[in-house]
Amino acid sequence: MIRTEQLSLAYGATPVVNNVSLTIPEGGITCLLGPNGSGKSTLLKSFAGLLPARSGEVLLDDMPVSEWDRRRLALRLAMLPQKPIVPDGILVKDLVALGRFPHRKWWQNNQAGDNRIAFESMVMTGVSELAGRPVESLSGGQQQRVWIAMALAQETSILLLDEPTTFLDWGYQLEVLELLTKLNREHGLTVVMSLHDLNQAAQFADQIAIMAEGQLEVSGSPSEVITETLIRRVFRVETSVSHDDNGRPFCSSYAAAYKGEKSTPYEHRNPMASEA
Amino acid sequence: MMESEPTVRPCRLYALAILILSILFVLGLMAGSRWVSLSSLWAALNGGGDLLTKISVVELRLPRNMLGMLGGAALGVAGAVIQGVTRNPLASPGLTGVIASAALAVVSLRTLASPDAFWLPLMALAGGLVGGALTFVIAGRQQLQPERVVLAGIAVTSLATAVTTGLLLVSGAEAAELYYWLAGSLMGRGWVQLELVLPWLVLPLVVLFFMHRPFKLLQLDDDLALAMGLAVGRWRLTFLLLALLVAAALVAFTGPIVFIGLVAPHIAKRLIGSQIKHWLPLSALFGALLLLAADILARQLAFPQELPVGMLTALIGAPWLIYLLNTKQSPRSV
Amino acid sequence: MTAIVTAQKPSNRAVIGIILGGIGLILAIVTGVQSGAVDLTWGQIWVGLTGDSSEHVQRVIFDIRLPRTLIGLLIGIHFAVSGWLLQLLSRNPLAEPGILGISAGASLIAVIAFVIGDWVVSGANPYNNTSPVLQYLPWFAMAGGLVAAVAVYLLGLRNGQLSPLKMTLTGAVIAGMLHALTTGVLAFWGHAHTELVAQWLAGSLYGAKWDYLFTLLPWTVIGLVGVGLLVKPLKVMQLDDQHVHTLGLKLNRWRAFALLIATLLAASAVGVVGPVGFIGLVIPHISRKLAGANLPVQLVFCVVFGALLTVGADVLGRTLFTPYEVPVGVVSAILGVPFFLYLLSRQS
Repeated sequence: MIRTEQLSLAYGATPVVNNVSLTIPEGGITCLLGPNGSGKSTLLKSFAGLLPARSGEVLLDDMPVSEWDRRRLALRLAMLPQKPIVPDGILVKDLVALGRFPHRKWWQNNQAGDNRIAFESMVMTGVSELAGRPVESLSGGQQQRVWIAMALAQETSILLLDEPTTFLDWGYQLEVLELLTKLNREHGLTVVMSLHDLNQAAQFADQIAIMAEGQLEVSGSPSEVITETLIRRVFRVETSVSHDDNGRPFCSSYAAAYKGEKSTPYEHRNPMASEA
Repeated sequence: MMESEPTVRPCRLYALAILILSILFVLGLMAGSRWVSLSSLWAALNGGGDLLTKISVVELRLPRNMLGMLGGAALGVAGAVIQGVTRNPLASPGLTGVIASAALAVVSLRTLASPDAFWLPLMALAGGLVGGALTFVIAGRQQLQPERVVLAGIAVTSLATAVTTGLLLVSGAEAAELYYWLAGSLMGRGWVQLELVLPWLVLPLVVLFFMHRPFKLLQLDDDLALAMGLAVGRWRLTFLLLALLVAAALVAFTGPIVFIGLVAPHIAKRLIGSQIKHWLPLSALFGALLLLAADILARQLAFPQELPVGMLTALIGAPWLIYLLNTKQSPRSV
Repeated sequence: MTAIVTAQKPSNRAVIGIILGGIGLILAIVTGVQSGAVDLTWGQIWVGLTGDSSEHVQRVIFDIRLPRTLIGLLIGIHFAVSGWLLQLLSRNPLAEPGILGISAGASLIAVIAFVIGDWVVSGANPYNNTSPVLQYLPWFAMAGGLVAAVAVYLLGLRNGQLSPLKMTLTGAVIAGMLHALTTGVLAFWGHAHTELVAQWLAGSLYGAKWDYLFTLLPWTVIGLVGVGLLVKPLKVMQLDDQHVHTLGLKLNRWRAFALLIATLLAASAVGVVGPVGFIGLVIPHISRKLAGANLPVQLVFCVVFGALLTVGADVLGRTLFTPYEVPVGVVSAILGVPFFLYLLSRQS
């Protein structure tokens, strides 16, 4: 379980995240949402112990993440950066096998067991047929699945993803999110990711945390969090929120709200208001 | 990149720079292995005084000072032009491989033949052109990213340096002299050299000063400049050629002197901000000032020996560049 | 099914490449012993090697050509492996000991040591032709190379993280400055030995003797052992920094270690034969091309082809324009040019 207590983060002298207290439940999918520069990626990095806290703490299993040994941490959580670097010419199977690194001493080579696990993670993500191909030759969606396979090969119970859908086409975005949901449901993987799309978050997340200007605006289940007033305040967009058959909220945007105004003149003209 | 900073009134800057330059000039006439007092300096310049003073002032120090001033101005302008038209704050004759390849051309000419001094600037120009063109071709014409250009320039420089070093081995008796020249120095450059290099420096400089309007437009986005009716490609090429010309011609006579072409335009830009029309003249003044000062220092620091001035400018310029890489304003947070 | 994910095996192409490279290397070594100012016949070499021939032939083989060829082989390995490490480390295909300032630092300190040593020992007679400093040059060079590398490394940090691009630029700037200083020192205080030092600065194997080989050999061993230790961490270090951290690798420590090994290899070679450029640039590229992403195979390629290029360049340099010798540094630079251009044009 990851918990932050009054966490503040900064790049050099620039404060980025302020006083955030948030609990990430084990075994669920948590989405971090917020406008650009709201600090959601920074928060995610701090979960992985990549950024020292300026004040407050990030606690992983009730121990500050900064006190974790790097290798033990690597056995507990995996992280996928937003734009991971593909080593020149590397093959899919070799990349996925790198996920086994923390399981061996640094001088040991991967053994049969490691290779089995790497293979299984490729099967899970549906890239086992691509094993012998260079990663660069794959489509964006395939590459993203390869990266997830590598993270799975790390056999951690927590997976952090920094905007895993940003550079993908729509279809691939859903493909990746469905894969993550499957891994969560079938293998109990705890998934924490930052996303841009509110509706995707609402559809796939168990918990949503919304960041704005470095502060945690609100966190809770999708239906608690996604409301018209909140979206107007945080994203400055006029929306109407409806719910699908599973009770998950769904919002359609139709106008930019005026900056800084508490109630917008368009509110009474909301065409969907009567239906909702 | 520093447009937003408060700027100084240009006329005051000109006045100050010219004042310091004149003081340095007089100092440069006085300093040397024999110090000359102001009064005997005056006498020597008027044709009086003792013969020794007269020779050292009129025949040695005066042309040397003038070459230093002109050369510094040429390097400053060349740097500003290259930085301006490629919109690359890291570009300069040294960092784009121009100086090293010009030096290579001169060394090969002097090794393989014993040419008349008249041919040296031409050869240096040819070498500088090839080197500069190579750098920009390597860096890719489409996106002239500052770092890519510099990386390519460095590669060209190290290539030229390797071949130069090899040539020196073959050059036999001339090697020591060439080494001297390669260190970059104004020592022993007299009226003869000044006369030879003068047209190569003065003409392009004058032309460049007259072209300040297109220069200003070239600071803009290419499409914008095109939309204003400027033939961007042709003008940029013209500017680059002229800049190469002055830098290469100077190298032919003084040897490679690096970093002045980088530092002088930077200081100028920092002081004048967005007043682009003052950028070239001020770069010239600061370049002259820097090289003259460095030359006087080079004469005095290790007295009675002389330091190569190229060594001094490198010692001053490299930390400056590293400082630049470490400031926030560095291009695209390298 | 799990056979898909087995340990990386070299491809057939790579195996053939290594075999061909090995054969080429043996041929180059034999040619290196055979040709020169006096060409020897195969028979003479055989008799010479088995120690049953005229004193003259024996001297030529054992005192001149064999040590020279072997030193060429070693420095080729040094520069190639050093460049390979630096390119991986800085994620910059243009990185090499010369461009990162390591060779320049080594050269400057070596030249200063030479000049000062000369002045101390034979101050009275600057035309005394033997300089005792010559045999300690590797040590001075290594010190200089290390200082330059550490400076480049520290100045190349951005917010405590290594920034490959900034490191390369910083290295290049420092290399430029050090080079200007070296030229200055040599021009103004080199005295009668300018030519001797100039020869060294051009990267030449001329006059290489057995003691050079024994000076160099320990560093070859240390360097190669170090690289062997680094192979597995390097695989991970090719990824994004953050990614590397989350895989549990202590990145800064390993980077510093890799930089140290790369510096030791390059600077010790500079100390013995002077700065030889382009081997460290070209060979790692060829290795990547031929070996694919398989790092251990790349390393073997670097060793074999680095040695081959250097020995070959030296043979060319001393046979093309006999009786003149073109230093190996110049030959390798000239061979490197077209390759370099091709490389960069492909990049853009």
